[in-house]
Amino acid sequence: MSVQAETTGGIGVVTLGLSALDVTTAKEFKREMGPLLKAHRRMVLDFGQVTFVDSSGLGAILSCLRELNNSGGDLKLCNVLPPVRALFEMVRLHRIVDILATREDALASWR
Amino acid sequence: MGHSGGMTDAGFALGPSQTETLFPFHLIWDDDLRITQVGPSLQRLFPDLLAGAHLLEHFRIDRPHGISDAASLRAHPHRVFILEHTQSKVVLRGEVVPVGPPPGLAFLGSPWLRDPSDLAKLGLRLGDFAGHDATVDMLQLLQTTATALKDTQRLADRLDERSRELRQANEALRASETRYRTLLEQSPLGILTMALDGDVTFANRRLVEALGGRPEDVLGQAWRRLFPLGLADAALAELLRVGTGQSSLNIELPLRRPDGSTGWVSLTGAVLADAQGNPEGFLVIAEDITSRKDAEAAMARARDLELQVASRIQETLLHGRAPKTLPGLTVGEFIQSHTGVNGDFHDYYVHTPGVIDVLLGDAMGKGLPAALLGAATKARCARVVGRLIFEGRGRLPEPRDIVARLQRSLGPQLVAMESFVTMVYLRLDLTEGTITWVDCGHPGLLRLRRDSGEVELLKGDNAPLGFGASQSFSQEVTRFFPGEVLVVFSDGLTEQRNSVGEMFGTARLAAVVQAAADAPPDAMAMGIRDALSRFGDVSFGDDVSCLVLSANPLRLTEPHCIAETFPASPSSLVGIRRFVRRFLATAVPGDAPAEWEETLLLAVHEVATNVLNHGLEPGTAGTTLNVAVGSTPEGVQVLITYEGRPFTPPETVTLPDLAEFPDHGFGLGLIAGATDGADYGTDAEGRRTITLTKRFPRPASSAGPHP
Repeated sequence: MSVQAETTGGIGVVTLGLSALDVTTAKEFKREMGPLLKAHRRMVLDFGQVTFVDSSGLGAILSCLRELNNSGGDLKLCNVLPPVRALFEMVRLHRIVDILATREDALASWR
Repeated sequence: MGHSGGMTDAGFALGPSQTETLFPFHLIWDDDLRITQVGPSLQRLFPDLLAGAHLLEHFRIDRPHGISDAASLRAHPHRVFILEHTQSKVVLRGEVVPVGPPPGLAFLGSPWLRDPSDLAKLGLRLGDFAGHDATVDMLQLLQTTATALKDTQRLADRLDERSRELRQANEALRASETRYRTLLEQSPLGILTMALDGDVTFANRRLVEALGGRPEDVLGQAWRRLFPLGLADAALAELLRVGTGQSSLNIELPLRRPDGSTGWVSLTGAVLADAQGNPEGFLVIAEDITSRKDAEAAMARARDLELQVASRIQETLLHGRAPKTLPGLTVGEFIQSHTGVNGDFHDYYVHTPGVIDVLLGDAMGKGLPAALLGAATKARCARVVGRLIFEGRGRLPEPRDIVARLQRSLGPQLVAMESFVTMVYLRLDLTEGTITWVDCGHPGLLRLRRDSGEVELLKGDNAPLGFGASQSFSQEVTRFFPGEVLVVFSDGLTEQRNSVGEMFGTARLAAVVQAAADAPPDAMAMGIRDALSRFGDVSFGDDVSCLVLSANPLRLTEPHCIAETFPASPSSLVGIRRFVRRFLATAVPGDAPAEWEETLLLAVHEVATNVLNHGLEPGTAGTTLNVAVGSTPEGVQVLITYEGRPFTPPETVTLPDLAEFPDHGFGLGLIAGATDGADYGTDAEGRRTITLTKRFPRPASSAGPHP
């Protein structure tokens, strides 16, 4: 399993158990996220263990965001490490997805 | 005492003094046999002989017999009288003649002496005798006879002694001959004698055993038959030359025994000469050296094996691989290994494409120990460099600190081994245009200056590693500009000697370098090798290591750098990022933001992913990606080379609008956003190339270009 999911206050919190979300792991990530996205309208992705994200990983994140948006839900990211944050800022991902410092911050942002 | 009155029956008469002179031992008595007169010498001989004493109280008349009175005395005229002094047993010999008046008898004689030594016993001298006394003549005769007898006796004694000596010498000679024979027979060395014609006249048991035959196989045989391998003739010729005194025989010969086995003997020869010194034969001592020869052969095999191991070490461990793809440096090498393998070693440490350390050293000694020591020093140095970089958190240590740490690490072991290592550790900083070096007993470096065309010798003054307990080292710094050449060499080059003992020397090397100033480094290195070969037609007595380092002008468009090849597989992506990250760790200025490096790594990853997904021909198993990375003062370039389909990227690449939630099509946009340029092309060998260029960020306060 590349992800570990839990539900807190109706919000699905997914911890990525990967060091890299890239071309080698993105497909599996998307497959495992499919049922979770159907079960939750609001989700938090915890990137605390991810040190590298490439274009495939970025596409997988956007895929999740699109599916939640289509269902009226929302996606927030947290615990993003500096190297990954550099990518997100370069592609201006932070403009369309909230990136919070901690999981608690992400959950609190919906209260 | 009165004196005698003289002869009564003759007209001749003697006075008392004449009587005393002529007969100093005379004695006169009267007819009553009472002594009336005593000669002076007799008186001195017998002081108690007084006048008036009776003759027979003092003397016994030994001859004639039966004398008891004067009448019987007179009855024996002209007879020899012998009187014996009764107390002292001294015998007097003479005649008795009548004298008077008053009538009496006179004894005219002297002591009867048989040996001159009797004089001393009686306290007499020859002067006590009358001149006419025959006793004197007799004593002199006896003295002469005694002397002659003594001489004769002495001669006889000497003859006896000589005879005894001869007898002893004969016995000793016989014993010596016996010992000699025993020695010859029992000797652990084989011994033979032979005539001038080469026929064996004697061979001891050991020699017969060594030859593996029977005595009859040796005795009387011709010398050459003993050594059927054909070398006996040469040995005999040597022996004959020994006979002329021109040389001595000392030769080792192989032999084949009658049972077919083979062995070796060492022969030492000497000439046997007759009494006139003419050669009459030869004595040859043969030692069975088969065991020694076998041991030598085993040692030679072991030595060959050791040399093979040392040579393998030299090939694989001692000499580092020159960096061929650095943008700022071109390297030429000339490594000539001594046949016995010595301890030359060298290595390169590429910190960035613009900063390269070079280590060149020579471990003391030869063969496997020197090769191992050289390899150990090289390995230890690499570890020290890595350790210091780690301790400095990526900051490059100074060469002097590297050498000092190496000395602390290796020095005690070198001292314990009573060995040492000469070396030079230098840093070429092509971005700064400097050479920094630490010279530890090395012959120096040669710098070919581009401005003047002159060659200058760069030296230092540190002791070799392993000398003493020095813990600090000094380093020297000088400029090194693009277009200049640095020649690093071991002492085996300049100390190479020609057939007359002349050394190649630094000046001759400098002249070769200067003459080849316009040649590429490889050509210059070969020129040095050729010059060394022409210098003397001699084999190399030592390892020769010569590195020619040429600084090139730095241009960012040159895509060459350190490189590594990876399998064309997604599993290689992590390794590719790690490879580039390791390089960037020392290449990127410390003030560059972290995202500068991370975004470049992302771009490299995206290019590699694109190649894997779109650039390879289907079914091309075993295809590889070559990733090269280099830096300049301006920035970094990454070159990815592969064999496959080319990309034709759109002229304008932008990131897709994320607000539309695209799930693909980011790759080219990320590459464009993460770098200052991506060039797609084909190299001279038809391989596809993608070159990423990313300039270092300029400090906010700096208006000009990056230094």
